[in-house]
Amino acid sequence: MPGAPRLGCGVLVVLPESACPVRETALILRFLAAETADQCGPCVLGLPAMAKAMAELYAGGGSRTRDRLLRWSGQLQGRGACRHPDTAVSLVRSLLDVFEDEVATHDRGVCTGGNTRAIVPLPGGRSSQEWR
Amino acid sequence: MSERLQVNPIACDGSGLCFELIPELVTPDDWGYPIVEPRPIPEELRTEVRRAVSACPKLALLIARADD
Repeated sequence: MPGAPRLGCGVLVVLPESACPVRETALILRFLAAETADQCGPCVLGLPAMAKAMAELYAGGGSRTRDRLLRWSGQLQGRGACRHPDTAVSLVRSLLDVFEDEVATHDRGVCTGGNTRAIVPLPGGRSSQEWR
Repeated sequence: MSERLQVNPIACDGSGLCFELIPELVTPDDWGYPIVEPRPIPEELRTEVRRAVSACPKLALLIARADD
């Protein structure tokens, strides 16, 4: 059934209206990319690329970034031996499907998240040095 | 009984030989790793597929047989 919700990795988080789904997804993608087991090429190379593109989407990357995310989702689906990339793929696909409006406001330079903290709790560490 | 080509994604290091030899069944993703067609191996490609399986530097390809 198309569009049916899937539990994915088994974590359920309810986003309040004040949260920004684009930002939440970008942060989760960054986490998933860092959590690769370094075994399969599509995961090792594909997830960081997806995470980077998601951050670009957050920054207003627009339709080119969206198209890239969709193409890579198609390429990465089912490719990792442990299926880790599938989690990232279903997350990105559902963001682009369900939160179309929020993604569109980012294209205009507006984040609906305002001054709130990210909601989804993620173990931190590596991301703070990434800009270097 | 049908045969399908599979790739072991852990063994594969993206040499690219498979999509050079059997582009009908294998295409590269944007990072140079193989995406394998899930359809049964067509009769006319069997020899080529076998050649690719034995020539892969990492022996990361395999032919899976299934009753269907």
